[in-house]
Amino acid sequence: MAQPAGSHSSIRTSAKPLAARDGSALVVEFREDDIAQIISSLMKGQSLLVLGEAGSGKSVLGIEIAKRLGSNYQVAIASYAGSAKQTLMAIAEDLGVPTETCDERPKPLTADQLRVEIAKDMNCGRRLLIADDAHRWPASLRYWMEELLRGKGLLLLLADRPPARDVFLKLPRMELDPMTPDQIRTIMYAEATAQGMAINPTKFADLQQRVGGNPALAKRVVHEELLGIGEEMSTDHRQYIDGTPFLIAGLSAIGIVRFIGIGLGDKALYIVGGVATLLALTLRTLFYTLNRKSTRLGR
Amino acid sequence: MMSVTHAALAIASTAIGIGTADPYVLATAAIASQLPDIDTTESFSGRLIWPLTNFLEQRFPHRSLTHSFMATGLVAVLAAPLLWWRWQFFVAVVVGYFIGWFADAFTKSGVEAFYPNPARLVIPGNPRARLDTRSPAEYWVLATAVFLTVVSINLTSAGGLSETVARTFFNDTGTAADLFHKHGASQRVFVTVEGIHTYTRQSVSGTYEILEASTSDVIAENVTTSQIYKIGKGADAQIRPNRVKVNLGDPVKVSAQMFNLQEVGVMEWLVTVPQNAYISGSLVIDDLDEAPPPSSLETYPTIRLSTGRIELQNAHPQEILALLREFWILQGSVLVKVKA
Repeated sequence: MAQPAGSHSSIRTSAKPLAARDGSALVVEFREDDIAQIISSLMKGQSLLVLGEAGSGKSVLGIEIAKRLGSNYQVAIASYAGSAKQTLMAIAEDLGVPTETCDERPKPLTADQLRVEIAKDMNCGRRLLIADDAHRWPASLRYWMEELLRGKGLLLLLADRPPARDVFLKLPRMELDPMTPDQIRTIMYAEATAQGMAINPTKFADLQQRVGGNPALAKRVVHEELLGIGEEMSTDHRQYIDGTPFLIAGLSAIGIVRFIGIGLGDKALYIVGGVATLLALTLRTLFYTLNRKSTRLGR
Repeated sequence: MMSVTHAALAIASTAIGIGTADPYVLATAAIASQLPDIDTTESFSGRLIWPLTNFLEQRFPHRSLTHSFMATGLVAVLAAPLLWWRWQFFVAVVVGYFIGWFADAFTKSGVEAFYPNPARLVIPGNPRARLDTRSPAEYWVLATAVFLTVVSINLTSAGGLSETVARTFFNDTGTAADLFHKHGASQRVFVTVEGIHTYTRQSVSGTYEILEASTSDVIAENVTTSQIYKIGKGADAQIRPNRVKVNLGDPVKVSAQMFNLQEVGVMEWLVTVPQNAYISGSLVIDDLDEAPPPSSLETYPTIRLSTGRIELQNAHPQEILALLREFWILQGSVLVKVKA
């Protein structure tokens, strides 16, 4: 029977049994320090950009912060799903900004009007706009957010590798660290328990290779294992270092042998070194060709 | 990656890296290559040290802590005492361990090489180009490693890669001389020579055992006729070779002893000398004027007359006997070399 990894550590502070907490609760628990830091920054009136890879728990973080600041602030959480107007409408609704004209025959406000209304409202203070997946937001909305920053608007942007320009450059940024192996193991264990699965530590250790420090992947690999489709090693987390350049550099260093051969007048060493150098060049070509990576899923 | 692939790669790297064919050293490398996998109970080494494996397995992902430069450094420190015994074993342990986890960088999952940094080292970056366990590609890697090991061990037994290249491509007495300088103390060195005799203008083809070597010439003895020749490009060489092929023969131990001779008959002295000895040195002989000139002109002059004394260089006792049987040695000092 599986043992909860991390049960020995001091991470678990809550008295609730492990299985009773779902993945999101655990993510909140493990990101407590980050949350505290973000909240204290926001309380000081400082807008913030939080970076983290897909699945690192940014959205969960946003929701938690909205919940905690809900009593003090009027909080709007929005993400962009293809329509700037819908995003603006969602923000307006969260902030309690009217979305219709105030005459006898109310008409919905246009996107431009919404921008102005929301900006006005944000300037009243004690308003927080949380922009989830801010890297997806179109330029029009990003420029508008810059406008909000110039006023008294308080923004929290959550983004995964956003471009280094406009609003993203202007905010102090904070990067979410990958979770520790212990934390990931706890999330995997909780997920497996929630699914009613018994997985032994060997399998956990094996599955965890595909997770890195990414809590969403931690849950996904458990589900893949459950479905029996986890055979193919997925390599979706970002904590990889491509060692090819080091290897090539190491191989090229064999060329030194050739020059030692020349220097010492040792013909044999010269030949061996020359052959090795050309082999290294061949391997280099091979590795460079192999390294053209497809970003598409599937074969 | 299968444990047998790890072992094969570790053996190949050790064999090539330090040019050894010692089965104990290679076995040590193979064993060391299994150590990184103590972090999973699915491996043999993991089942062997179960409590430790269980501890690691419950806390770390597979291929993390034990598959790192840090762990390799630790292993190197622990294995350091081997340096005082035989350094080859130290290298075998460290290289074996290193290859044991580094090879996994070529698999889909990669390794946490820079632990405690959790980033996984992968080569190449493209996951599709990396190896799957038990895939045909892995069997190719395994086959290549075994092939390289066989080649390396063969080359090592023949004196190493660069020496083999020299012997294959540079068929001259220079190579023979180098080889003699390297191995002459412990092994017999033979040359198979094709060339021309400088004085008689006859073609020469035969096998000779090297007795002495300068930088580019060798003094060698024909294995069938026991005649001694100087072979090479020097002005005083008897044989000019076109092609010289060098072979290492059986192990040999050469003992050398200095003798100072005083007032002794040649016959009387030579009785005490082994028949297969090579004698070098100089003798002052009574009535030297009466001594006949050395008989053979076309071989290397092992016995030479020079201003009142006889100079010997690698002379056989029989030759000296044939020439100076009745003579009396006033004084002399000689070096007697005997192959045991």
